[in-house]
Amino acid sequence: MFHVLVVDDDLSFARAIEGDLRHQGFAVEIASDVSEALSQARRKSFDVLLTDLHVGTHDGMELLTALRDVSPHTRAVLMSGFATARDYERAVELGAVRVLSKPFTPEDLMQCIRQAVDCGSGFRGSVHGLSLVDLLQMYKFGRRSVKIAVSGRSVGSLYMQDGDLVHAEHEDHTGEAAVASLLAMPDGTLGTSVLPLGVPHTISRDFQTVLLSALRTIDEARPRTEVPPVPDDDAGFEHSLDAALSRSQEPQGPPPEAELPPQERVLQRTRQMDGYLAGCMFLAESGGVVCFDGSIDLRPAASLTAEALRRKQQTITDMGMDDEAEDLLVTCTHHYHLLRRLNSDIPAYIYIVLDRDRTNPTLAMIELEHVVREQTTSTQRGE
Amino acid sequence: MATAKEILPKLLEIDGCLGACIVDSNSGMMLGAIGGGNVNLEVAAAGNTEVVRAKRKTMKALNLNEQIEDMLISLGKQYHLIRPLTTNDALFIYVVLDRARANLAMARHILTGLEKQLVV
Repeated sequence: MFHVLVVDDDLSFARAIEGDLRHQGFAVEIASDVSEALSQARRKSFDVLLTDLHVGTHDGMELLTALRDVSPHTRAVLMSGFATARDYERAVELGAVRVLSKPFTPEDLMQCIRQAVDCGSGFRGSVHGLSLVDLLQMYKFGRRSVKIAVSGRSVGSLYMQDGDLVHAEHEDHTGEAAVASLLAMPDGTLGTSVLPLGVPHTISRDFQTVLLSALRTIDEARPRTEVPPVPDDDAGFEHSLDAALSRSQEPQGPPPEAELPPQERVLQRTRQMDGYLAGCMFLAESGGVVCFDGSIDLRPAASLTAEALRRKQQTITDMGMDDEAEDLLVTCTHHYHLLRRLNSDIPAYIYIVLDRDRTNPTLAMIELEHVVREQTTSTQRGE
Repeated sequence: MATAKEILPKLLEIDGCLGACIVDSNSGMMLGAIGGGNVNLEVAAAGNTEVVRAKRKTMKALNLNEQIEDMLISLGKQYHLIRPLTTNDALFIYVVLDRARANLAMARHILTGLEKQLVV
């Protein structure tokens, strides 16, 4: 249970707030002046302090200043009916999470208190140079529930619950369409706040799928010159591995893209990944190269990498675990080496090398997973 | 600076950490271990030594003049993190994380910091 200290010399107002907060499950105590508030804060640990700007003859700012010494972990919220811009600035400088303008509704109060509680750990402040994708991934990994307000050429919002995107709105769009249009904005400003109650759920797919789908939509909307269209007349992925392997016995470099067999379509997709330098596909058992591509010849590495993966799988088995290695990310001085098992009848892996300066490894892992899953799906459909 | 004895409990404090050990890749033997539970860290140490060796051979075969900073292996239910020591690449830290409970970015960040402090 979270503990809130309400400080206001208007006791009837303080009691009304107390009632609202208790109704929402908070433990609440009231102080009618600054010295009483500090005395209570010394005696007991409060998560949030909610104080009026003027408490009797004292200034609420004095309380905020003293609170930093008495109870540094307590998050403060300032209430005021007539706070000036300078008051806002001072309150934030003194560590207040929010300045709540009077009059306010019980919903405003709850959102504010929840935000203060949410700030109970971690840092707050201003950052710059982050992409929206970076931010989303951080909240994904932190499994946070937040609203991200984005302002650029236009304004919009993204809503995350337990690290998953549940809703987005931008201009006339909602859901995944809004995610794509927000991610397409090249720059802007953003701010986070507590996730409001009752947010509609317009996004049902998982985070990674939504993110990749949005990025692909943006990518496809860009004019493209370097990658020719892929033929549709392939006969499926796993069935053609053997044929491709026999072709690769006498390596002659990548074939013309217009004649790409299906497994090389996977490589073609990875070629579009940020920082891509080279890729190859090899059979898990023999290390035989199915196809290869890029500025680093990965063929000499295939059999050794297959050995590393076999060793890993053997170790997993020896450890008595009923599990399999799905992917492997090796971080080196200048490159990322990323491997992923293909969902094919014949056990095989895709291996790509990425320039470390130009790659977001998390996004690369997600993208490769998606490429493999997509290939599996299209193979199952017999495309 | 911290010894293996001091670092190992800190590794176990990483969210989702099931077990961790410090391994000599020359012998495959552990210099120290903590946690583990159902995870047999002794077997893991020996087995992952072979993984590290094979991956190093791969780098050599590619003529890429660079060091392995870390390896992340994603299993269905776990993450396995391997981080060779910058001061002695014959040694590596091996951490097993519960995939459902781990924050991977945070785990890698903490591991990097602890590895820099470790003196063997």
